[in-house]
Amino acid sequence: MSADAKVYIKGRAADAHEAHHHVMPISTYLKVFGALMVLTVLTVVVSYLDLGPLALGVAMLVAVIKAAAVIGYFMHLKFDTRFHTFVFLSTLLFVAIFFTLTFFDLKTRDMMNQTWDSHAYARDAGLDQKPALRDTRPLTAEEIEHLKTHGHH
Amino acid sequence: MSTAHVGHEAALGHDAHGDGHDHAAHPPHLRHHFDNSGQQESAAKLGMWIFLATELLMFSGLFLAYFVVRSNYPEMVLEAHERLDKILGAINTVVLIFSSLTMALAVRASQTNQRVQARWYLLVTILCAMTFMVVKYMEYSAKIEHGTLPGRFYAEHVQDLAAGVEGTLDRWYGGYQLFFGIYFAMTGLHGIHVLVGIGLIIWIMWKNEKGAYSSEYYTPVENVGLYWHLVDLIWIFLFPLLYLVK
Repeated sequence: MSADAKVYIKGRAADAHEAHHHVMPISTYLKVFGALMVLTVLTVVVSYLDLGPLALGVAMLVAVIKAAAVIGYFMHLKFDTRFHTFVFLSTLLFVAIFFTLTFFDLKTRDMMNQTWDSHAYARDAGLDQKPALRDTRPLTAEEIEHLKTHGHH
Repeated sequence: MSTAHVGHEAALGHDAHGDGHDHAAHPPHLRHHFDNSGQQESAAKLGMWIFLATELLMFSGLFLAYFVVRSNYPEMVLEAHERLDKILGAINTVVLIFSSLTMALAVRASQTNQRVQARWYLLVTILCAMTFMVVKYMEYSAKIEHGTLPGRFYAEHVQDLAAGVEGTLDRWYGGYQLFFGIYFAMTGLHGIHVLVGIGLIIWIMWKNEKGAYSSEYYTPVENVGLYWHLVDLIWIFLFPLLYLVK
């Protein structure tokens, strides 16, 4: 009866005890750790170079490689049943849908405004103006007044 | 009526658990609703991976918020991120990846029946997790001291030499407080996960001392390990996005 309950490894039926016995040598763990350290140094170095718009892509690529090493080896997904890989990859699929649809919305709003001729309204109302940053705009008269009464000299 | 009743009882007593509750044949860790250890382990690990999936979905909302803020205010994010301490962030990255290594080695030690080794690997993992939280505490206190808090709590020191005034101003819409809102939400939720992880690893270590795990049964060590690696995984993305990206 017990033999009816199947355990699957890499998509094929396996002996119930086989699931316990994939032991990786310690040297593999150390190599993965070494690779993660090298990639961490690489990310830090890259952040000091002036790569412009490429910087985000490079940083994310390095992070994805690091994540793959952690998932594949430390989390054993490479040697685990394929169904766990399926669960993991389908999560990423839904995250991708979440990100893609949100950015479709955000990035096409301006287009909609122009199409429907409401861009002029947004501009007149100051809605298309991004708020100025602390370091790039002078203090307003009200703020100076506020600091004169509440600030310290 | 009575025949049906007897038939039902017979069905319950027979075959429902395969080996018909012969306790001598049960390993002590095997719950009665599983047929064998392999099935129990598969169920536990599938459950853990599904839980990790929900964790990723939860964090993905915060990552999306980060990318939306970044895409709307790229200059602000670039300026604000310079206020984070890259060195402390890098130290924490190394500490967390090292703790992931020792956690993986603790699982391996349990796999190979090395209980004493498992103890030391788990202890190092806990110490690394605590180091991470100490560094985080140092970073948070510096941020709080400088008034770089999220939303309406943002009150950074400003001065206008021409007008001869200085002091703190809050409610600067679109300013750094947006970045620090994201920073505190993401690192805060991650920090809570580290604290929970410390608790879980202490529990595993205690059970390991009591001799609960062996090469026959170490699923809880493995599942806590999976959780801990996920905490590491999220930090692998948080570090470049918050501390480094130019």
